[in-house]
Amino acid sequence: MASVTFITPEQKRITINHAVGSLMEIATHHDVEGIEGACGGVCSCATCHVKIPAAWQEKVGTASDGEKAHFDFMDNAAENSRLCCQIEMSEALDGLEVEVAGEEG
Amino acid sequence: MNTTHPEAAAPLRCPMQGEEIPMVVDYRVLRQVSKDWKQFSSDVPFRVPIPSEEEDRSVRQLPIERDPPLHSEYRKLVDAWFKRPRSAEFQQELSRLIGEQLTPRINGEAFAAIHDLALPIQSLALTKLLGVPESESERWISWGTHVFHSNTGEHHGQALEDYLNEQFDRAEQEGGEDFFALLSGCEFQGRRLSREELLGFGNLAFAGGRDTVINSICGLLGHVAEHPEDLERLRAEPTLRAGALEELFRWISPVTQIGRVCPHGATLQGLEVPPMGRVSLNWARANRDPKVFPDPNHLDIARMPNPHVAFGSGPHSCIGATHARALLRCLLDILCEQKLRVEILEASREHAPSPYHNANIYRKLKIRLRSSGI
Ligand code: HEM
Ligand code: HEM
Repeated sequence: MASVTFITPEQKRITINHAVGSLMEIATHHDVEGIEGACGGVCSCATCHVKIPAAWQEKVGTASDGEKAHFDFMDNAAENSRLCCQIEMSEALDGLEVEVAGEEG
Repeated sequence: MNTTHPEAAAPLRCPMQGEEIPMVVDYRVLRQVSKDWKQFSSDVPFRVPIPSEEEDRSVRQLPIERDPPLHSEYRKLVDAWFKRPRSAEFQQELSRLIGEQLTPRINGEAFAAIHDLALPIQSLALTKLLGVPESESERWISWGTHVFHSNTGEHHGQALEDYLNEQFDRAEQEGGEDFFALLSGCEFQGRRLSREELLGFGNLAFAGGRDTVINSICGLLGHVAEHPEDLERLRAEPTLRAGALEELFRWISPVTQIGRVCPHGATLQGLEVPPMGRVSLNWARANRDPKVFPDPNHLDIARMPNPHVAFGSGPHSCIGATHARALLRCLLDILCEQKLRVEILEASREHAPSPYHNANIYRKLKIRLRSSGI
């Protein structure tokens, strides 16, 4: 089964093995700080903002329009930003690392 | 800050309490202003709401009437508490109490949805959020749909303040596991919170989550009555439900607008705001900005993208949103799963005396609940 590591703004690493579901669901079930998933995974909030390291960008893919609608208005968003409710964990992503963006400003 | 964009909608100018208040209606500008707390401050007791509320209460509401970094420290005290509605146990309790309010009405007489259904559900759900016995809701219900002013012009601000004082007295003497005990027991900057600070938190827990939740409940009932096909679709496709509720919040925008004060003055889209002058952030209008929400007046349960600002934006974004979302979700799930139909017998929406008012709030909503097929 696939594992994923969340790296918090304080550089704490939280690894979850046997991860299933969206990254937002996985993070909130494990109380990863900085990932809230307030709207339940439909891109109406931006409380599950992560950044994807270069090595993983191709496999993870780029942001959808629903995600970009937020990034345009956020100071801490970058090219590699994603809302992790839109990233479904899979075997192909085994070993994935993502950086939790944390609060703006 | 540069709030000038070529295609941004200009602020409205609203005469209010002897001042002309610029009201931000452009989505992009509103998102910028709402995070720029240095220029557009909330650190002004009674003056964040417009009209101002010095007549309605005697304490500064917390955490809303403070700026970062102090605001963030206050907010941390209650952050985890307000996330409790995420738990399955909490949601089961919400479903139970909503079910208990709905069930006796199914296939029964018509009733006033605002007073006889939305108000009891909101009040009972608030007992869960605050961790107090359900019987407390009886007293809150007796205050009517507005905490500060009823439609008869009678003032309830004092009733709320007396009630909160009683609760904090009790919590200080006996401790306990509820919201009042949490606050009176917590440490803030190496000291206990003062009574004024306690009242500030308590006051907002009641004021922020009352009309907003009642209007959302009625908005949902009204919408599915007028659009049974939407309810049918949500019944068949549960994965659409979360997004449908976000769209409902966008479309209703229960908090029309809220203020900020410019301590040093500011220039907003070319308008000069004098020192200590106010600015209004109109969430409802920004939620209908056609540049962000195509066909904005249409409630599209499958709308995507939907980056609405019904719960605000920036450091003060709604801390009660987890609760409001969980409550509406439980209600929608019950409507879907029990195959209920809502029929409107009589309804009137708020009639706008000005362009700033929210037209999506029911003043009257008389309905009947039916199980499908009858
Ligand atoms: C001459 C102009 C205005 C009149 C006659 C007026 C009248 C009213 C009335 C009668 C209510 C309902 C009170 C209640 O039942 O609680 C109300 C509510 C409200 N007004 Fe105004 N108003 C005016 C201007 C404004 C302006 C300029 C703003 C904002 C800057 C504003 C914001 C609000 C808000 C947010 C509410 C609460 C909506 C609700 O929850 O029902 N009003 N107004
Ligand atoms: C559908 C229901 C609700 C809506 C649409 C709503 C909307 C909002 C909005 C727009 C703000 C931002 C205010 C600002 O920027 O100055 C806000 C803040 C707030 N709301 Fe809500 N609200 C809702 C329910 C609740 C509930 C249920 C509670 C608590 C019981 C609550 C408590 C608060 C508090 C304490 C704040 C201030 C947060 C801060 O300053 O950090 N709200 N809400």
